[in-house]
Amino acid sequence: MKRGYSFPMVFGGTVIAATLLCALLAPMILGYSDDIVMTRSMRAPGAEYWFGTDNLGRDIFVRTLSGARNSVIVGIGVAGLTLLIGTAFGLLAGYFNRLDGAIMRMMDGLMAIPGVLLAIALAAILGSGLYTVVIAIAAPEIPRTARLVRSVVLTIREMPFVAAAISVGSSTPKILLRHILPNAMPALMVQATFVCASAILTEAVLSFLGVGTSPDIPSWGNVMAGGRQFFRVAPWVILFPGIFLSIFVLAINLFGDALRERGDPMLSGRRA
Amino acid sequence: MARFLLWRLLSTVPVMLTVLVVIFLLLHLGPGDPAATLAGDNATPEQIASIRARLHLDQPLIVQFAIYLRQVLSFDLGVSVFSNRPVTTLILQRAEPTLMLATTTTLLSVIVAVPAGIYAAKRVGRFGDYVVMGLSAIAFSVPVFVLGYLLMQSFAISLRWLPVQGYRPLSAGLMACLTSLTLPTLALTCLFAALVARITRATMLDVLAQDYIRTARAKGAGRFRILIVHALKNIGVPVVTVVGTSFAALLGGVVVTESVFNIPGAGRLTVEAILTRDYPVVQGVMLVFAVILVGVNLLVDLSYTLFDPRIRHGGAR
Amino acid sequence: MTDPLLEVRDLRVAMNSGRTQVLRGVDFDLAEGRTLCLVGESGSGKSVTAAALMDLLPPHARIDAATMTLGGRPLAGMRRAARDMAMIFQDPMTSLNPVLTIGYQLREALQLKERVSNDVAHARVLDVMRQVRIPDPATRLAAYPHQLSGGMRQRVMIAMALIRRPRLLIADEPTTALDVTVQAQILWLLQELQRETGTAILFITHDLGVVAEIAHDVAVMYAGRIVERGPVGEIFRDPAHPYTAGLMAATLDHRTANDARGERLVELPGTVPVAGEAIPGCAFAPRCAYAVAACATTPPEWRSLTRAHGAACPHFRAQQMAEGIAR
Repeated sequence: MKRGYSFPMVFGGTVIAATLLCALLAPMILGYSDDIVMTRSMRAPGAEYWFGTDNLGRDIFVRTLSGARNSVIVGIGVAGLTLLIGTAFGLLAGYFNRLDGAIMRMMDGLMAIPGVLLAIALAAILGSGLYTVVIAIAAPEIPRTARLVRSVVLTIREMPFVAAAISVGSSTPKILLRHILPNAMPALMVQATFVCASAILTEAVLSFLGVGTSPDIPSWGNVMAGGRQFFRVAPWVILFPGIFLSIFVLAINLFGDALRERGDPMLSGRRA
Repeated sequence: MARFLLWRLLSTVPVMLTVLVVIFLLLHLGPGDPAATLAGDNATPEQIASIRARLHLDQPLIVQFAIYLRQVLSFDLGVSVFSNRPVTTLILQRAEPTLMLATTTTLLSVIVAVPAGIYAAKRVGRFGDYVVMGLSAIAFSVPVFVLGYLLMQSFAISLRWLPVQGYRPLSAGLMACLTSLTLPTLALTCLFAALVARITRATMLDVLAQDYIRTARAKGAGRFRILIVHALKNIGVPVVTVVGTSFAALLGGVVVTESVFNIPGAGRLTVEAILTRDYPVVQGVMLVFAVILVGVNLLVDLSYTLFDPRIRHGGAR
Repeated sequence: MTDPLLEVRDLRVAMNSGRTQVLRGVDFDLAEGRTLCLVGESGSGKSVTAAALMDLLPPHARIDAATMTLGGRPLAGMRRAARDMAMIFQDPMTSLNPVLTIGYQLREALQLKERVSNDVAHARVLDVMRQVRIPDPATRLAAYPHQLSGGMRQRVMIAMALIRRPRLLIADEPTTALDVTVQAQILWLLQELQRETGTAILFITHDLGVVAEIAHDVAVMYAGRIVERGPVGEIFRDPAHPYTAGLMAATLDHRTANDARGERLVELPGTVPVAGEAIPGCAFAPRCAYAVAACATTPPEWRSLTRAHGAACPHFRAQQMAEGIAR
């Protein structure tokens, strides 16, 4: 069952690779031609404009492809930031008993606020740049990662090789980073895929509600947000970026699931 | 049992305290003067100064937090900057649609997802399993608002079966209310049911591999009996847990769904408040949602005692 | 001797839809009121044999037997509830459902087999609980498994088996998970119950100490086959298969180390062949000190020593005798 490459792995991998390629190359190939041309506004999808145009006459196909770039940046950025901070908290809470209670209660408190709501509020307060949006989305994701890392640390630190490392005088940071962290990596990689997927969805929601990145930084979310008012007459403005986003998120989720299934048996079945 | 209750109640105190700190600090996170932020872009210096004084923004942070805490504990969530009305009143006015939507979605999700998850577990590795898991993966990957618009486009605009947007309150009749909630509930259920189905399946697989299921088989219990009597009660705890923990995702989804379908609920109130920079309202709604979430998780923990005699008798798990 | 209660001839089981052969032709009989111990290392096929009799194998397993009858009725295709047998499992901690009361689980065992009213069932439950010496049965009815000790739970498992008044009781390592003192109590209880009810017991174990205490007859399994079979006294006194002899020597060694538990106990040089491997000759040949060239290629012939005692090894006895003469 775990031999070779399963369908989800191949599908997920291919879509992810293709999207990353688009994200990298689209601006060069298309020459960023999402100009505002009022004379061609609200065209239905057809031979000329494959995905139609929006109210300002911008080509949705071009905007969808170039939107991939910022959505991917948000996804990867949030995954990276979450992992970095979440891992730090998790390591500290898991290894130092004194910090455990304080850190984990803080994480519980953060988790008690619905994630999307916290992200919306943070995004509204911090402003609508790409990086502030990344921070706003990452904040609610941190507790889950911290919990995951902590649970791994709690298991690993009881293992003989940790006692051995301590007995030969390894420093605490070295034990944490060299002996304990690598054991948490497989679970963290899986977690990273899920955070990335959920971040792309959250970014879309933020843009949709009007607190995401500003419209001159196209992302799948704010391309769709632009079509909100005209949904009844021009549904394609939401539909096509929505389909792209969904397929990409689906690919990441499937890839993450496949990763988890092949992963370390010790970590499988553990719910973050 | 009583000790478990007491311990569980006490454990919510630090959590709520953290929530309050986070919500309180939110206002001070942004760049610039919070009083100016609150007053809006076109405010005169006098207006800003009056807001600063009214909200005690001229005091040290710790004093401000103490004042905030005292207010909250006396159920005073402040006054809306935009409409000058108490935040509690605003939230109560908007509570009904949100509660209705959350309830219908939870019910529908459990009704759909628990059997689907059990079915997938029974057919694990076969076609039925792939269908359920595939659908749940897809439902999980489509943004709620895209789903909402798709449903709206097909069932309301093209087929004209259901109202496009808006909400009919309960006072207009239960049927009218439920009809207006059909599409939002469907959209939100897709997301929520996907979560519940996945966990139900995983838990069911765990349970079906247990020794006591083999014992039941050895007795000659049929498939149905094994499922209903021997397995279902054992998946109660994890499934209720996932319903509780995904409730956060549900509340987040409510915010979005209410905006898509123009439902005047607490979620929509938040979005309006954020767009008008009405921070007391934003903080108020966040606090109320957090209290609901903590409360739901408290209920979930208490419901464990219904399902699991080991917890009921205070034994080790 | 009258007709045996349980008759098994050439029982074969293959897992993974027939690809992995785990039982390669098992023959044995079991008479009413007797206890047969199936002995062997883990992986030898003891538990698979029991599971095949109880129809508890996973769906991908293929069962195939020339004869498999209980009281003259073929077991193949018979509903589990209709089988005149019951089974006790290894771990009483996990084999009882944690969320159902003891009373419910006992009553269910009865009512799945016989259509009796709840009143009658209640009385029978209390009877059987007394029979397995559970003190204060009326209050224990409402108890959940976690409120009982390991020994008590195994008594409940036994009661659950007995309440159906089975003609055959299968016990799959029922004492392995218990403390030594509790182990002795449970063995004693099983023997008492057998005297009272006359049930036949198929007892699966890897512990020769347990065998010595409870068995009338012994069947030694190796790699999916029975390699030696006979009355317990004869087998202990006079093993006719090198594997049996090795098992006993290994057990004696370990007994001195005072470790009466754990599957690791019987440790012989070499390893059990992988299930599913094709074995043309004797499966034990690679580990056997007495093996000759032919052992690896031709199936070993069955040699009877007495009417009831025999082994699948034509060389061992001959060589031992030769050694005895030489000495």
